[in-house]
Amino acid sequence: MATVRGLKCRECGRPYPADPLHVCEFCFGPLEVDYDYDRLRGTLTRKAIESGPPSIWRYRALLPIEGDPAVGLHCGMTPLVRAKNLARALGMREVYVKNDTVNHPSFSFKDRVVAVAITKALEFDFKVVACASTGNLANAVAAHAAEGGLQSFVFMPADLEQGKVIGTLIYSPTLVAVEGNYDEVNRLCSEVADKYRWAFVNINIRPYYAEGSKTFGYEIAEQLGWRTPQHIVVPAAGGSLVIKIWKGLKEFERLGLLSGPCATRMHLAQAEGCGPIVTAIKENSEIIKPVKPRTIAKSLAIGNPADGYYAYKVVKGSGGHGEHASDDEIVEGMKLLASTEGIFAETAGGVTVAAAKRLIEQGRIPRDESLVLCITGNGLKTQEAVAPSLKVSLQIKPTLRSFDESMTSHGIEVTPRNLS
Amino acid sequence: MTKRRVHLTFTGKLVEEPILWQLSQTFDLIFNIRQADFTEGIGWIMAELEGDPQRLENGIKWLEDRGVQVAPIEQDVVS
Ligand SMILES: Cc1ncc(COP(=O)(O)O)c(C=O)c1O
Ligand SMILES: [Zn+2]
Repeated sequence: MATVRGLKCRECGRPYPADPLHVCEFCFGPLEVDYDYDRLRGTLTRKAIESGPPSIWRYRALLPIEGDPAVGLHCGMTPLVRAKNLARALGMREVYVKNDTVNHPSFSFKDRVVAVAITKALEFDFKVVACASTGNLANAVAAHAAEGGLQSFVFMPADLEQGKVIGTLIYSPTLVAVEGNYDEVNRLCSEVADKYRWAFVNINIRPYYAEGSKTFGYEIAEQLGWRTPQHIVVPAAGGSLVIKIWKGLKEFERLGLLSGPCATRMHLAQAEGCGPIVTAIKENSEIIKPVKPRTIAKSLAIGNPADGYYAYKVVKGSGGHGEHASDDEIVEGMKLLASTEGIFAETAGGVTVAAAKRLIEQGRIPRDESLVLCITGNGLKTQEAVAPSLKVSLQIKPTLRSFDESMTSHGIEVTPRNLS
Repeated sequence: MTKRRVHLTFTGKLVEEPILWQLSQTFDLIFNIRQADFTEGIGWIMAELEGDPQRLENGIKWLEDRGVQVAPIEQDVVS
């Protein structure tokens, strides 16, 4: 079912063919995939989706690929967890965690965008794929390129977490660790993308790549029984995810797949040390002021977000708000999610939990309304962030006496089994 | 001649200065503005700059030294 009409400029509306293009030649606005929704109305039903594979590809009629998916066949359909313990801790009635810490194959939501991007790169007959990444995207590109038999180049700032470096290198890409400040890395990658005829997933393949994030929204709605929650809190770096979740929900509404109207308020979560979009939301400024990132949430450390303006519009337009999280709150958020729900998220998850907590305390998310938290990456990748604040509970000699004494001295009370 | 597409952000009193005009005069560059937005205290411009490669480099460096944030038109491509 080919439903893609082509690409279209988000600013001036000029149409473009479905080629590896990403900016409008006239106004330099970003290009977006344009679908023929009328052809889908009536044929894309709940039943048709439900009978599809348990992966993002059940929504392929709404994804910009022409043939069959080529990589990432097991991506998506991650658990939507009813988080009762976390809800209690937050003083909320109904909280869900959309848990992409267990996304396949590389444990973050980036598998969604990359599965689409690399399938598209193969359709365009590229032999080399590339990305510039703070970690999760690098993992996903290297893994999917290996699966698709493509050569890959991954550019990363030289100071990233071990988990993200190892979790990329293992797939045998060419990993380029760039020594330079953030802006220099950024400029270099833009120049590399200009010079080589590669599928740079988040540059020249971006319009297709970004569409993969819609599946995060589709799954939330389907897993809630074809309805949308009252609130969603989304972590933001470049701002694409929040826009695409919203686009996904609105497409479902337009295609008549939802039980009621989509009245969800979209809220944004960013770190205090790099929160330009949230700052703009708080200040009601449509112009996003770039910042120099300084936060432990390195996956969200994007100082001059490409989609900041559109993310701002989605949040404001939906009646949502935004909040920042300090580094300490991020760590607390990670611990709270793990200790209440048994889910170990990366720093971005800590940002989301912490920002949600602030929004609840401010009354922006009322305690009796439904809330979905977007947990987008796995904590095993960013252990450095929490390691300093965690320590082994008891250290003892290998004797029962040492164990009992240690328990007593740490004030741990347990009832021994009745041996009589 | 080389072309560069750039996204420029201006803050504070830079917003009121004719910086692109000065750039074009000083470094002999042609500029072509495609989109821009300004409000009090902040603004941005998306433009194509064209000129001698070395002068283009020097011009961009000059902008940055003046406090203008210079990025590719995609803005941050790392993600
Ligand atoms: C774990 C995680 N969550 C959220 C995001 C934000 O995505 P976006 O750039 O689409 O705002 C990223 C981006 O790198 C990420 O790695
Ligand atoms: Zn345009």
